[in-house]
Amino acid sequence: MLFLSEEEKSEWRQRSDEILRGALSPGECCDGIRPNLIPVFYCYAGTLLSAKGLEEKGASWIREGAMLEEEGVFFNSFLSSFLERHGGRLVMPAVVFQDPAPFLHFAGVPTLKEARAAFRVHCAHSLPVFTKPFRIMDIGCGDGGLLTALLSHLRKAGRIGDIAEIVLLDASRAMCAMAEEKVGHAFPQASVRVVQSRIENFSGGLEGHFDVMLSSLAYHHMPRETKLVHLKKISPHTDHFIIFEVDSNNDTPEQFSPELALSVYQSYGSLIDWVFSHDAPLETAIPSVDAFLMMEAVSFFIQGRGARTDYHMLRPQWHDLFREGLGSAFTCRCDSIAYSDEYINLYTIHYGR
Amino acid sequence: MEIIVAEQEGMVSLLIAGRLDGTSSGEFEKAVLPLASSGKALVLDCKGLLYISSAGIRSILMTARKVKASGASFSVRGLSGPVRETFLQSGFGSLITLEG
Repeated sequence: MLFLSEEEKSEWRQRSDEILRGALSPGECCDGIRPNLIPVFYCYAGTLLSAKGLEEKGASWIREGAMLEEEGVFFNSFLSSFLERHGGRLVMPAVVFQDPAPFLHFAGVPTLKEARAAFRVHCAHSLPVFTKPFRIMDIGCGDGGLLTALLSHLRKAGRIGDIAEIVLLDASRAMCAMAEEKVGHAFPQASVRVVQSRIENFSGGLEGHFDVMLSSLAYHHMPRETKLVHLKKISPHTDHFIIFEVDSNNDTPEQFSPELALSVYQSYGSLIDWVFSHDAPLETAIPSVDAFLMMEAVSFFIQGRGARTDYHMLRPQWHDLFREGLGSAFTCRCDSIAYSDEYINLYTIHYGR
Repeated sequence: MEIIVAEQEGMVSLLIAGRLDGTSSGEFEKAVLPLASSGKALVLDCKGLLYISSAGIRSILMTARKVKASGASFSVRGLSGPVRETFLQSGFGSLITLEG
């Protein structure tokens, strides 16, 4: 992952002010900017102009930036096509996960599947052997595919035996229905309970005790302070808390800041490149990105902290959060990389009693 | 997939036929990317193109970037029927000069 120095942040802000005043055009702005970050600067300038209502100018910066993108990142290119399909505006195209198809296509991307396989191995290596019937809660369960594969893996690895209880929590009705069917079919002896809710609305009324609570690409949907509130509420109800997340600096940077633009560009640019590399008809790939990844990416540019729904954090920030939210009874059992390249990391972090 | 390369003065013309998808995009990139950095204008003639997938679009954009980085022009011509329709609806036409 790449970061900006304080000097670079200040320089980018200064240049963006000039761009907003119309004093700089694409091609006139890049002296002193690291060459590999020039397409990111174009993205920063273009999204800033668009968010401030200068949509035509913004789109031209993003188009120019698309032709400068490095291999492995597909952000400006896709954003250009997105603007073309949405009247030149940075708009939120859909209610995320209302239709599960976009997420399911994303979940089938080979790179993500490999990372999830690594996550299962990390869990099996870091969890103890559970001798009593196992209880687990999946926060943001999606279609239940990850949990089903994880439980099967833990069983094969000899970590768990009978499964007493599985709680599936997701805000999407469609996802809940798919997860209930998938998990119920795979583990017919277990008591499977489905809760259609966000963790924010559920944590206060949580009952019972779980051996493991896990959350894959879901716990980042709250800002740090809200993550902490709910972590404190749920921690007495579990012995182990495990996340599978994307390493990104998307929580604390201000809206319209260069560091937020760089973080969004790298993480979503990589994810979109994965989707496009995974062969599919454009009629499948484009809605998958529009209704899921772009929905999130655009929100960073047009919604402030508190209004948007995504707050991915850097690994040290997660550790700080877990130490504070879970308390001294928990220690870190695993912090392992499930996928890594120059722009993006996916990782497993496990804290246990 | 079939790729025919024709070089004229200062210009490379590439005729592609069949399907440009995840199976053929590696072959396309291997044949086309070295030409894309030559500094010559590149025209991709797609009149024989029957299908293009997400991986195919990615390969074409990668080619366009390389050609533009070398200071030359890149264009696509001969798109027709459902492939043209898909391409136009995708919005990626805003990044590439479409002829004909």
